[in-house]
Amino acid sequence: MPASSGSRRLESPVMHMTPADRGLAANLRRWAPGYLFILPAVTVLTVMTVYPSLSLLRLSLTDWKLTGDPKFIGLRNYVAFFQLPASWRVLYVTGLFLVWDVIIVFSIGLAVALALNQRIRFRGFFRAAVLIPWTVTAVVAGVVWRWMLLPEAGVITYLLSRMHVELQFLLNPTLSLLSIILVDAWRTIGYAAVFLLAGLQSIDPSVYEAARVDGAGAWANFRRITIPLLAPSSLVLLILLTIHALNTVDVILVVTGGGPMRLTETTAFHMYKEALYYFNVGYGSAVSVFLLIANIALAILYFRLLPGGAQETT
Amino acid sequence: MRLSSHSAKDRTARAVTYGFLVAFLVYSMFPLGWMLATSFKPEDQTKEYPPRILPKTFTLENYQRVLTQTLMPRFVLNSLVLSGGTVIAVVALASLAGYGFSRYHFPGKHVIFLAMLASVMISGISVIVPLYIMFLRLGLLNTYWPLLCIYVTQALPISVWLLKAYFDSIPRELDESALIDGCTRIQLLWRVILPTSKPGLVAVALYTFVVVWREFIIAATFVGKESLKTMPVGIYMFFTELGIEWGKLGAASMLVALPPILIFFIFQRWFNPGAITGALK
Repeated sequence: MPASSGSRRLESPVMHMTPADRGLAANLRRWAPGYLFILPAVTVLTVMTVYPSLSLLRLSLTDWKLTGDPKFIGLRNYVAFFQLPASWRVLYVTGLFLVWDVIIVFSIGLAVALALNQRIRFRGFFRAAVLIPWTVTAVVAGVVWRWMLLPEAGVITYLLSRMHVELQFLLNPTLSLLSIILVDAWRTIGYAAVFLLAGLQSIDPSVYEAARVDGAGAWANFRRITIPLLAPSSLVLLILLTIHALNTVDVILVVTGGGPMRLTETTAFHMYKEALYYFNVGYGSAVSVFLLIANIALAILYFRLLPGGAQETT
Repeated sequence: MRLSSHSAKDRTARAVTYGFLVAFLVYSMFPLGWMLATSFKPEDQTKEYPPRILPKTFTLENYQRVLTQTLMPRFVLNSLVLSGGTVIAVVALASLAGYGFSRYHFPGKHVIFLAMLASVMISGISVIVPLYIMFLRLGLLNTYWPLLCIYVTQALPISVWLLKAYFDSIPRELDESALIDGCTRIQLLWRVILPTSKPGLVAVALYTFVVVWREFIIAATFVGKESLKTMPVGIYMFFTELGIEWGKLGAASMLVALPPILIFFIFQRWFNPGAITGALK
């Protein structure tokens, strides 16, 4: 077996043989500790992912409402989803939310990361401070922002009206979605900024020095060096943010509860309400399957785009 | 090598950078500051119009009421127990698995590692329904077992990845000299590798703690019994039942926002969600 890390191992005749030469007992003895070390973690993960996934598929084919026995109804839940006019609105809202949430979080996060990457004092302090909103639970964040955006009494609404801008944040469907995005962005931008900052800091400064010697200006530096070298991290972050937005339920629940009139319901929220409020377990499972497929598709994209490819991780 | 920073262009750039960061900081802190200010206002002043920032009358009655007349202290304790338990479980499992992936080769290792990373996509809200049914049937609703299992599942992949990367950077010579001295592999892990990996362990612990501490939806789904509710669920209860008493809500919010912020400031040097990118280089 090649010594991949290049380190010298304790010599023994067994080392120079291939697995095929050694015989089963010797092989098992070599492999056993590795398997044993990873066994607890792998067991937990397997039980908690494989069983629920299969169960989800099975549940989605029933009309179970948690009372009585589940009855097999085939693909009727899926058909029902596409036949409900509300479903198309839910998908539309999901799309809007995904696009705007990711764009806002990423662009402001990038700006913050670029700022943090400069030679400034108190960088550690700023870096910690931008992460603080990330530590705040969705309920508190949602409550505080909702309160600031209240019609009339809310601080933000009030300040805006003093500038002759009248915005009824929580009564207007579009503004309600914006409010949710605002809250989620508030919590997530710090995370994105720190993520991108790590990417920025891993760019060798001598590259910039070489460019400066060649007479490149700041903008050219940014375009020709920063953007290409930051691209891998950026793509990874974009996918992580998309997955995060796709699965967000708590902020929506607290800020608008899906309203006004269910007009801020995303797919995840719709699924949660159907399955765990109305106990429409069968139908909710079907919607979950859509969510799962979307997540898996994004995960595949994520692995394709990992810097250096997944091969390097082992 | 630093170039001279005295040119006018440099100075403007730095001013802009500082200005932007300060503005962003204000944006980040303003809601919390507002909450803090409101928590010191007597209830009738919290809804005044036009809204004022600073309290006209400073009072501690909200804090006093929240601490003595509500279940908030209980909720915070519950959250501490759950977060602490999850951190211990994740650090233990991830250390073992990270060590296994780092130091050993065995058939399927690559596939298993990738599958582990992929599993995080199946562990979120998408499978909450079958998980609910599963724990319902096991009679484990209104205990912390479902939450522990789910949170561990969500935190393991990234933690194993991070710790494996850390362990990879520890030279094997260290392992070998310890083994020559007569250590078993477990002792090697416990006495040699882990102490050397403190930053990685702290990062895993901190990340896991904050993620569990602030989590709301899953906690609300599996634990309905009031005395067992975690902090976010408890606060949500106030929000809907108390007809929104903003003063008390503010006080409760400040109390629960504090622990992670404190822990965070103490340990933030080690926290780096972008470490994955760095670790892969």
